[in-house]
Amino acid sequence: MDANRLIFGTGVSSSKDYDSLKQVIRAAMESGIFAFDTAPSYGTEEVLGRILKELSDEMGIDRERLFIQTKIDAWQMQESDGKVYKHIESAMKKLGVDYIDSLLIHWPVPEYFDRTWECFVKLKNDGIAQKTGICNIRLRHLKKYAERGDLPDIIQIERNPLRTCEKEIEFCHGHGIKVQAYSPLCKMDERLRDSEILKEVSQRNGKSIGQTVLRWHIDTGVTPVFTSKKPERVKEYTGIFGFKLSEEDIALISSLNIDYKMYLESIACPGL
Amino acid sequence: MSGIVNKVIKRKTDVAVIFMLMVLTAFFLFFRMYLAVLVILVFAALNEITVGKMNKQKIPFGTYSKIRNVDCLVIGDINPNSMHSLSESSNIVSIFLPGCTLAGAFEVLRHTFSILKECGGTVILAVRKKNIGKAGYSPFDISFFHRITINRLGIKNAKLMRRFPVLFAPLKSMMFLGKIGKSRSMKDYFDKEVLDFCSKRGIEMRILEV
Repeated sequence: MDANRLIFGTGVSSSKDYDSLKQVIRAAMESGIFAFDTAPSYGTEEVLGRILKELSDEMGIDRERLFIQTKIDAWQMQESDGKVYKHIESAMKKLGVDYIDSLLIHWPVPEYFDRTWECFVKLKNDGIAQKTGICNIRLRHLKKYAERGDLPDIIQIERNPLRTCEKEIEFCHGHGIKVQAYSPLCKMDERLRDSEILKEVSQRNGKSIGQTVLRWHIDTGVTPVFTSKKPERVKEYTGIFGFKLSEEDIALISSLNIDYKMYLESIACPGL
Repeated sequence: MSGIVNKVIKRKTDVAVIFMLMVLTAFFLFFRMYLAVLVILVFAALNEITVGKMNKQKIPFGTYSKIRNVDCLVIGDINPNSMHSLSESSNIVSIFLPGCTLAGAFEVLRHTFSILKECGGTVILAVRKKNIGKAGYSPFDISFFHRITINRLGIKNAKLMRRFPVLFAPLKSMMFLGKIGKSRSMKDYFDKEVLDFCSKRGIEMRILEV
């Protein structure tokens, strides 16, 4: 399985302690998921690094097979006035790696964005970061970056059937940018959980609503960054590669869009 | 009782002030200065009510709120009870900032505009004429500010200001509790920064004459 088609997140809703996080990461790796997402604000870089080292040794998995993604947080951008090298060094030390597969700006705070991005470009040129990207951005930002010929490799946005982000995705696909979706299941909001459309599509494919929604992300060219505290749920969510949604099903699920977002970007990133 | 105490003592910074209030209360009780005790108790009660109402204003912007894609966001020194008469649309979220400056209202806008609908939306900033050119931020503005904003603006005692608004802004707190607010014409006072910010985000800036 392509390791980058599903990413296991260790963010807000994830387990944080060593034992329970190791259980779910083991379940993910046993199911063929080798891509992991973290950030300094999640407080999981160190524990994730330790667990990945232990499980990789135990399961005989090479570093090259793992995809480790971390971020630079707003406070780090501010504290270093955009010169974030020492924070990257610290992240690599915590994760126990000598390069990062994907490095993202968590919140593109306007005051510090340009200088941080300059560092990212240098880190990519030096091979410290294989890919660089930005979270929580909108189409107008992407257009601005395109004008100056400075597009990211990856963007990570809040995306689910209640917020399909069609314009952003169309732009990214047209410019070779990979799109990742955080909160891909919208914390199973009742408008998804009780949706007749999702129930019908899931029943037709013999899958759960969670599996159907994750598959919808993949079939629309987006990589979901999912999480769970339960190993059995992780295994359930990874069982989505034996089927594919029809064009009709994809359109039905996309019709649930109401541009709903759980996280208001401007609250965490003033002036975004 | 312990639940109330836990609710009041939310941060380490609270502990010193709560302890000071308790010492003062004990001191005045010892000398039978009941009026002073009453003043302290009234202050504490008013402060808790103010903080509660300040937090309530932030609920629409929280992760679990279903209030999204609103047509109109009203920020500033205007009586929140009069909001619905200001627009034909009933889909309004309002933030009452008594005695706010234009700078304060604009910073709050920078933190909250994502609640507006994707294609446009309208923002009304209401600031009293005498406060337009003034500098400074009140506890009511600061309650919306991100840590990086507080650092960027160099605001001192932000945590204490959020926690004890009655101490730092007694008059504004009374206006906040009494919902006493109005606005004046801002037509001549919108600076370029506010207008640029809104136009880049497809937000309509409405000039309000009250």
